[in-house]
Amino acid sequence: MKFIKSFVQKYAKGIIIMTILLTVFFAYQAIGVKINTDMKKMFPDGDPVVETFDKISDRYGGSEYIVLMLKDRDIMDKETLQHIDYLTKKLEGIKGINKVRSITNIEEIRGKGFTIEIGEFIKEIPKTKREIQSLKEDVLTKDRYLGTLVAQDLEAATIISQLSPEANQKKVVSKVQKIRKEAELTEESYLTGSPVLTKAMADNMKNDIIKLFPFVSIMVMLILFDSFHSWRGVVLPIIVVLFSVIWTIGLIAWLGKSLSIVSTVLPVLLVSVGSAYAIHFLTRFYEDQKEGLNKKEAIIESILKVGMAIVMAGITTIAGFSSLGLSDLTIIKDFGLFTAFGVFAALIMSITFLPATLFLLKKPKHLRAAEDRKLLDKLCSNISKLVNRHAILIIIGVIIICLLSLWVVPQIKPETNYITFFQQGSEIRKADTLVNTKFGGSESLEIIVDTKKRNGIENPNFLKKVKSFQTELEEIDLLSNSMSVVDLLEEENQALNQGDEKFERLPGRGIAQYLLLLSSDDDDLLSDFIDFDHQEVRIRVMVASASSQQTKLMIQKVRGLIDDKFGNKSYDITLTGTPVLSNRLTDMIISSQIKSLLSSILLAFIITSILLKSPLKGFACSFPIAVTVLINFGLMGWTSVPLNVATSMIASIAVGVGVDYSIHFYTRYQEEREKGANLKEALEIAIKTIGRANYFNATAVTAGFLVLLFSSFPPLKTFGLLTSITMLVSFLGAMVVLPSLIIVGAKISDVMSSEDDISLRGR
Amino acid sequence: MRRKMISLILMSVLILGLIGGVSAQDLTGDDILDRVEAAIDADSSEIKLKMQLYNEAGSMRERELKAYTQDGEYDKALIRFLAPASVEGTAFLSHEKNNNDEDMYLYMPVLGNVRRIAGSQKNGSFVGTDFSYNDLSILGGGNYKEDYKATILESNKNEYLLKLIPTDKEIEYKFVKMWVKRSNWFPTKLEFYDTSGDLHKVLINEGVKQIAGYWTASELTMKNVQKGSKTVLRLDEITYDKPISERIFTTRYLRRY
Repeated sequence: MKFIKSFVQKYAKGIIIMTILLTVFFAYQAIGVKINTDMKKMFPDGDPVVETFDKISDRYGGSEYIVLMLKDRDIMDKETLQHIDYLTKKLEGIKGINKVRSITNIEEIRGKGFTIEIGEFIKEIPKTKREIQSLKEDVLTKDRYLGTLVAQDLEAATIISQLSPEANQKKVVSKVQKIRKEAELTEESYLTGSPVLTKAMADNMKNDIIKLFPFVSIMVMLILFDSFHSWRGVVLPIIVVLFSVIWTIGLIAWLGKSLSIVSTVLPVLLVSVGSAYAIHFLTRFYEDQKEGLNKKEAIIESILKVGMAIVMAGITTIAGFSSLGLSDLTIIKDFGLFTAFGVFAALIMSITFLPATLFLLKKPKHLRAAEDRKLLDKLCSNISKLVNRHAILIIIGVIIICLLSLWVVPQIKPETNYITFFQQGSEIRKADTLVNTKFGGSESLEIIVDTKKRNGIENPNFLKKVKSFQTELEEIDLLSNSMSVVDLLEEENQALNQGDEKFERLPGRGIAQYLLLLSSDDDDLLSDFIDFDHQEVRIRVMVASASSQQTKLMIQKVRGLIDDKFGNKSYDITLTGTPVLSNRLTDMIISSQIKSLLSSILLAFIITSILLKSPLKGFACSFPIAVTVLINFGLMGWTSVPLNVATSMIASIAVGVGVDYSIHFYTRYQEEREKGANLKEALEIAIKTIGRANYFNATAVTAGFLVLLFSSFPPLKTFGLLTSITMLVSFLGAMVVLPSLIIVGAKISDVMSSEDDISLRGR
Repeated sequence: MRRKMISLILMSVLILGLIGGVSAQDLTGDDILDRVEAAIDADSSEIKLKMQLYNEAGSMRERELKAYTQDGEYDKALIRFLAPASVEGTAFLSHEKNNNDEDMYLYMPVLGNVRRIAGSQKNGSFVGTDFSYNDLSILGGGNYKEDYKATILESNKNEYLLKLIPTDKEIEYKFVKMWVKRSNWFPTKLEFYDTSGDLHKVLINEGVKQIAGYWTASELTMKNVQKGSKTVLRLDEITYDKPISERIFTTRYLRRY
């Protein structure tokens, strides 16, 4: 700290210029920052589940779909069919869309007498009522598109666009949205599918950042003003945090990374957390001046006395965020590491840039910041009394709460369904509900069965197996409308046999000949379901949107069924699709949570132990935060808040930020003890002085996180609320539980140790 | 349109194989097409060919076919799969009718019966190849005068470069480029551009030699530039102008394999 003191004293101007130059550099970088909300970006590079997904996607022309849905009292009337036809043709023209399927362009094989016809199901849009009626009757018999392109009740229809793997998804979705708008539809229309969700999420994110960042800045400024009653007290901390936000975003852009869904929190978090260092510094600065030191002395004293605590607090916070770096989820990892950098930036600026600026500024006109605050002082003295009287009771109470929390921890369920990022009643949610009820979902599972033999799929027995697999697949919850080459062959067989329904079954032999005829097709339908070498089949089944638990169960059942049907060595099976990706995230989120939580607590303990030069003291400082984390999980368990990408970060944030309160408290307590105060006196002074800074700090952080209640993402709202509560709890932990622990600890060692140990008994 | 398939694929083979042999100056694009078209004068043909399908990864599927054509008041064609064994005997038969229309029949051994095929598949793949029905008609010349209008883009002392623009709305190409050799009116290369004007497919004719007095390409390669796949037709045994029994072009014979 002495080094920093003399450094700041010597180079005050240089520090300020340097800081501004760096900020300009990062600001320039930050302009180019990108937003990416693709689910695949959550995975680490080279994750096998994603690689499989991409491989299959490449091989079959894309695994992601945009679903445009039209809803009307009667979808099979002339006007709506014309609209569907128009939209289908328009969508086909978009670059990046590989194929479009709708009721107006779907191909079928018809058989009538000795003639077969391969062509569009609707050759011409019917005009008369009679034609429409017969088309309706016809469509109700078509299993292949009833329930996928047209709802069973004929009240909704879909136009499904397959995106090519290399498509710019955002651009394609924008174009689809534009086409929908220009069509001036008379029907209700909805867009869904993972590319749509990804884009909507990015749009919401932009709005969120634009809205929340100024909001949190103003909020924190108000609290700063209330704390210090001076412009300097408001402007300096806010400059420090704004600069740290700029540095962080600039670094993200500079390294070629992008902002993810959880990054929405980043500015909010840095503003509220980063201001703490400046708050602690300024509080001491004003306090010292009030006690008679001049400006320069006060700055030096603040650096020397509170500087160490700030650095310690900063290091634990950085450690807490860095522990998120152990997460398997790239977005959480990046978020943790970049926030750690931001905190580091705020920390450095608070002990260099801030005092350097104070050196150059005039002496403050008033010291209201350090003046008595009746309410606050009363609160502090009440805490002192409470702690003194009921230390043991407090500790017992805390232990009970911890046990109760532990009890409900197993009830916390992970949730990674992207749809939960959208508010109830939003267009995306409505579309999701509709596509689930009318069409069994917009996502699909892909099952590739490789026979490991060229032309292996031409074996009728194999195809029979595929058929029975499909039948049982559709019996699994969430799954419906399976499709494979079997369905095409059945349709063809019927057509080749005078359209007789009895022949809507797999041909018993000569599959190669059937496939040869099917391959003569405008639409390339066959290539969706088999490979060039006739070695593998691809089975698609629609998946309804559901909770991660239901999805997990469904995937387990599908795996079981695969083992059952194709379990011997003669087949290679690949199971993929967005639900598989989402399920993988669910697994990763739990393991990540455990890893980052344990490491953050361990790191906090190790760092405080080293800094306070005693594992016992380290434990004392870490105890309140461990309690806080447990209570957070308890709250999640009691209120059924799921563990998602946002809430899984709370524990590490709580550890990183919350332990600061304890560190500040303990350093002050120790400082007073070293000055000669007894345990009781030292605690009282610490509660009074640090209580004030901690209170300012806690209100700023809590208010900052509460701003997230105005986010458009429900998980971020929950995250904001829970983190705010956690911050208050960790504040109380430091102010009430920690002193109680010190008292109880002293009492225990009193009883345990020999009578001549005076130091802990007090005087 | 599928019905025209057989005659067209065979016509195409012929057209590419034959010479017009007329030297000319100051010709228009359409005149050149006339020369190319007029060059088809073989009355009948019997060809054995290998059809090789390659996907973008380079994997290959091979089929062997036998084809018969007979020109007359109404053109007739039969094309039968000889290999692989799994599709052996499968055959298509086409009878031209008035107005360039055709009747098309399919025989599948597994079915043991003949089916008439109806429906329009102009732009789709012909039995899984990179040739669409339209590609065949542009080569076949049977009806392309009604479907395309030609202009000369470039010419030098060896060849003409023509630009063909479809006049038939059903054809999903914006335009086609055709390189024609001056010496024998033989098209050596064709480029097909999709509706957005991007190159879609390229056809290259190689191994040009004279058979029974007619120039014939022994290898036709159609590359789908956008998909990365290609189809190669290798013409093995070619006989021109040998009388073919009428019986061959009946549905009864179609079934007899």
